[in-house]
Amino acid sequence: MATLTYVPLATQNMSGSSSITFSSIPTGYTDLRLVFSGIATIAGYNPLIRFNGDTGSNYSNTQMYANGSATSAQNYQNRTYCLIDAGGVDTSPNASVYINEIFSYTNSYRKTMLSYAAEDQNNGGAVSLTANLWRGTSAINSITIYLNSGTFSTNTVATLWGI
Amino acid sequence: MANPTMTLIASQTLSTSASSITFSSIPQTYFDLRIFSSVRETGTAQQDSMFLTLNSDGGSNYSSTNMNSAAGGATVTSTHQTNATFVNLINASQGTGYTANGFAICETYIGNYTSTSAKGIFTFATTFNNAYPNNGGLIASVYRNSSGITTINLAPGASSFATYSSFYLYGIKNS
Repeated sequence: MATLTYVPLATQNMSGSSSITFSSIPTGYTDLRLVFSGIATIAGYNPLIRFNGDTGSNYSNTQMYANGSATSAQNYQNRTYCLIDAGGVDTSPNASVYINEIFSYTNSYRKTMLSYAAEDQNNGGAVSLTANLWRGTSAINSITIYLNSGTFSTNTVATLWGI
Repeated sequence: MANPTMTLIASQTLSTSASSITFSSIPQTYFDLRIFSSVRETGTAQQDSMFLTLNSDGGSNYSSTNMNSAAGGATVTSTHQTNATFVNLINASQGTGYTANGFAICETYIGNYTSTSAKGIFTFATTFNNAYPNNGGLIASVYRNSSGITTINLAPGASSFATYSSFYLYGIKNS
């Protein structure tokens, strides 16, 4: 029988939380895929991601985005987190989707993550693509998603897949 | 043993032109949905849109924000669609104004489609032309409805879908 290549490792309901962590991530895959969709209690705060609890200035982000009237690109060095979006999670009645592809997460070199964010707000919001780099040499064994303000709301769920 | 997590729910490949296609009776047993399409129109358009409607809902419950590479990527623009009656999937279709037998390709990801809250949607789309211009798009969309998605309708921006246009609907499980 064919080997499964798209395996759900864990799912977490994010409702009522400002931060969730996927921990004890197994090393038996090549890439990881982290998808979450939902709503926030306060509009406009970016969901941010860290690996292995690393709060050092070991991340950088390159992003292109569009906000309905303009398109642009930006780059940040020596940040303390992965930036995965441009507009922030919106409140009800809107909903956002985030797809994050983490490549070669067990290698001993730097890790890259490509993030797609859909954050339409019905005459506001943004769509973006962001390339993130984490300069950690350890395999990724935990991933934290967090908001700097507010919490995630009802029906916000995150799933981590091994590829 | 782990269960398969990306399952083909239904597919359609057109043997004759059609004004639209519909996936109906979508089971509510998955978590996310992915739609892949390869589309050509019968009309004379170059790059064109495909229109997405959910649950046969023609109300003003859709909106989107797009990034559109126009004029073959020479310019990149962005627009909103507000209180719309469908999602405009820009650059997800093309007509006879582009290379013969060329098809636009598109992937749409619908998150948490059985949610009782609004649904967020992400779409990649690009047209194909073996010469300048050629265009791509990213679209962030929202469908503001509290029911699970049971029906998906896709229609071309103009004229009809051409023969051999194809559509694939996958269900994604998270456990």
